[in-house]
Amino acid sequence: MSFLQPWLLWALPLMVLPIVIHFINQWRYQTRLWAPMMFLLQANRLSSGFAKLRQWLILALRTLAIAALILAISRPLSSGFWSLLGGSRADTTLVLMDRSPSMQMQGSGSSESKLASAKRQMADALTTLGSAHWVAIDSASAQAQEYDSLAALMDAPVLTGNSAAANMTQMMYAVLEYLQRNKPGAAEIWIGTDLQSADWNADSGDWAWLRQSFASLPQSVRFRLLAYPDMQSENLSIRVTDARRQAETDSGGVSHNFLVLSVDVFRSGEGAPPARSVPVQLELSGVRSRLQVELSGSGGQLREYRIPLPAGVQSGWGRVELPADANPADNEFFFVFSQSAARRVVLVTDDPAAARPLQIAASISADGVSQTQLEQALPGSLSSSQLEDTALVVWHAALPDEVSAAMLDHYLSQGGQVVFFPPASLVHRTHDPSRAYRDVRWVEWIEHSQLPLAVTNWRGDQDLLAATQSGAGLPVGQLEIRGHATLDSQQEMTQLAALDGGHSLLARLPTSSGGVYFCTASPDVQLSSLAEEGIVLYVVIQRAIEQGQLAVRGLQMRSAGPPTNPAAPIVSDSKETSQAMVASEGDTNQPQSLAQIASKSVAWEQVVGPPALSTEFACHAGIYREGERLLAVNRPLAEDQYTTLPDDKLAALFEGLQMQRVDRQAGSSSSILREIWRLFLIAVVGALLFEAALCIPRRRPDPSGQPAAFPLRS
Amino acid sequence: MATERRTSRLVDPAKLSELGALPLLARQAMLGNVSGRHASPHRGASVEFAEYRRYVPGDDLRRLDWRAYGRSDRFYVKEFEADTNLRLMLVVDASGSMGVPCSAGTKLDYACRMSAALSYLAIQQGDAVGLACVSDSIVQQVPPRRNPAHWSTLLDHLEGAKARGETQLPRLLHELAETVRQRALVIIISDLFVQPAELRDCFEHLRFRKHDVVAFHLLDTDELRFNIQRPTRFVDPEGGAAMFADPVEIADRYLQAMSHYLNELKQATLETAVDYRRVEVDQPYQQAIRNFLIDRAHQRRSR
Repeated sequence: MSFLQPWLLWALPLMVLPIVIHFINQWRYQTRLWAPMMFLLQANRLSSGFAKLRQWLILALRTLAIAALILAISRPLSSGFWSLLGGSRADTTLVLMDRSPSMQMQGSGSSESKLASAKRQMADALTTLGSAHWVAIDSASAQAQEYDSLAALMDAPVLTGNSAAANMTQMMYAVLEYLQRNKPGAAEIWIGTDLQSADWNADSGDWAWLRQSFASLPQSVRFRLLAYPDMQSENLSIRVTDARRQAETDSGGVSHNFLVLSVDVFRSGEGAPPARSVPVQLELSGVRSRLQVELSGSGGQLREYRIPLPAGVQSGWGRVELPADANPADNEFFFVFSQSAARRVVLVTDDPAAARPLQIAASISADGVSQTQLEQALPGSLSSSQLEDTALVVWHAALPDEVSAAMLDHYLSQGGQVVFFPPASLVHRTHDPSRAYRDVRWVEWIEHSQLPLAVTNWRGDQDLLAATQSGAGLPVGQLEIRGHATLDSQQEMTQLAALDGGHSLLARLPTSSGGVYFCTASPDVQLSSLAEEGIVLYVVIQRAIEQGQLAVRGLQMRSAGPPTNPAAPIVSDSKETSQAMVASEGDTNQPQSLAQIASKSVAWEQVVGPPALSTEFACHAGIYREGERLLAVNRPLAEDQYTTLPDDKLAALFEGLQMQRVDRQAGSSSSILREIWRLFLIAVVGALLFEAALCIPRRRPDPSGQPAAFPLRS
Repeated sequence: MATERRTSRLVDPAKLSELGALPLLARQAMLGNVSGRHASPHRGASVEFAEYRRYVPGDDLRRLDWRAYGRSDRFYVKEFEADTNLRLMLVVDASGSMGVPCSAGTKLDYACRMSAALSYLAIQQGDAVGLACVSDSIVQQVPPRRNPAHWSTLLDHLEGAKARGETQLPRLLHELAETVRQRALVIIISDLFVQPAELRDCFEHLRFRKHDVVAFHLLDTDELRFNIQRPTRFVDPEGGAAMFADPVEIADRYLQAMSHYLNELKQATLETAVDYRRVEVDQPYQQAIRNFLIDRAHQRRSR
């Protein structure tokens, strides 16, 4: 049982008071001469059985009444959290509320969402429990924010629904950082969650470190998990996978303008519902129309649906919307469209002649239709404006200086792609060996003109040298390398292709976003067959451009919340890295903080979307305008593909920590925590009444009233 | 009179004077030695007409009713009731249970005061008074005498009475029933804490001997109502085993047993025509005696 005033339980031994008084009373007996002993003996013989039972019942009831009174003033709590609170009031209560779209699912038979239920029930419980300090961890940015009161916390925007996924590991790191930095007393960590697997990322190695860190904290840390894992029988969500403007000219020379739209509808829930058609409302620049999407199995798709656009429309925004269902947060999806993302390539070279094969490989698009904007620049003349909407930067020059490196870092942070080739100065051995980019430097040039080296192995399963979709591998083995550069890297690079002798031909630098590749062979026809056997070079350049285009397009249709690169681990398993992550906010490898997001999004202008704070535009679905560019912000893909974290995995995440879990359903009116002192007071009254009833002397025959044979006169 | 000169703790002259105006009467004919205030089974020379009887040779001719002879030409002798004195036998229970303290001191003390008063009344009207203090045996016995000096002897014996021993009242009442001459007034002053069935036998025996039996049943208020609150170790004054009990717990059953006992006792006294008088010892003894005497006077008058 749990109590709000557990120290009052020290008074529980007082419950033996009636027994003590009883024995003292027995001990303080009087001795009396008594003539009618015959009646006493007779009465004593009759007093066994119920009389003794009655006596003990009275004692038990008095004891019970005192115990119930003490328990009542100790303010007992009733809930599924029996034995929830083993100790005193928490010094600091941290609320980790998952406010992702999946938490906005409504409960069966109720219009209240999981998030609203979690807030209400958590507020009820915390009002009862109380705390000295209130802290909320934003599920989108994983930032801790302190509040003066519970009411202020519950009204805070960080506990309202948004469109970003909740990163539980980041939130736990934020909790850990807060506890380490502020060193509060006993801490209660209340987590409201729907146990979505993607949010918890249970397979991450971070959890082991988190468990160890929490266990080593000097103060008491207790986790209270308020889970809403129940799913509605059926829920539909919609997502636009592609939206682009396409212009065509027919045989008559008339140009037509189309919006090419691809839509996915996901169906979650139990059972296998029959195939049916679902209406989808399409809003295009304020004009509404209706589509039908056929559903079967786990969902339906609409691919390359062409919608005529007025002539002259180059770009715009739209929204698709499903009929209302269990979760209103995943029923609409915003998109922006424009001409297909530009195939813009910046070639930075100090030897244009040698870079000619690169220029050719980048200029020709794979579909033969798309035009490539190739811009050639000198290393020192690179400007940030050149890198906007750039799909690929080919760096065939000495490694960038600090200014250029900063621009490249910013470009990479937006998903850009950079391929470095050995500069001519390296071949001529006039380069500056101290110049490096991200701790990678060119060391020397090794000639193999007499005996060209071949590529002995390469990664044909992924990345730039992956086999084609038909399964045919690239002819990488046919390349002849007559000279190659050697690399010195402080980081471990992913080797995509290796030369005979083990030297890298193509390697990738691990980054949190974007792609950085180093090719050690020169495109100069004198130094390699990259130009002669142009297929490999062409494919590498085209694939890098495609990746860059995706990033450019992704800048316009982005997921809500801080951008992260799932391919690159956010944190490693090592203690040092985790500590550094916890301690440092300015690490470029980390997700953008709330401040970073806010500083960007406050400059946005909301075009369409639910009301939201400007500092949180990046976390709320909608259409925004950033300067001249339209942005569509939507929930992450994981929010549409809902899977619940298994109980055993969840238990394993908190193994060794004090964690109590209580499952609730959205819309449930029952409180998770309720004071039940009234019941104990009723028990006191009941016990006393029962005791009084037992103490009422039974009707005593009055022998003095027995008439004498000859009545006395008074 | 000798009694007037005597001072005793058992005697309160003021209270005796209250009772002096009331006669002590028997409910039935007594068999005394001298003339007195009580009816006798024999015919006598009182002024109270009894009956006419045929003359038989030897009758005193002075008792012939000549008027009856003149009317009927037959000889009738006119007879009158005989007035005689009575023998009052006071049986005082002096067992250990009578020594239990109560509001009036002890029951024995109370009984002795009653005995002193009753004996005074009897001697004053010429009746013979005897005394038997009984416990486990007849510890003191004074044969009935009617001279006033005898009262002093009685007072001496009463003052010397000690409550001790286990009561053997039924056996001793049987013994007294046999030893006391017939047609006596037997007044038993006791707590009567014996089985009513045994008392019934005693009463029947006494009644069989044509005694007029009066039983003063002395009860303490606590004994009657059991208003004791604290746990108590009850000690038997007659040497029995002590018992520890919480009076609150056993009060109802005690009172039930007491009530049952009183009912049985009442039944026994009714069936044996014993004049049963329950006396709570917190009331003045002279009141109990006065009620007793008044009832007797009323009964005599109603006859």
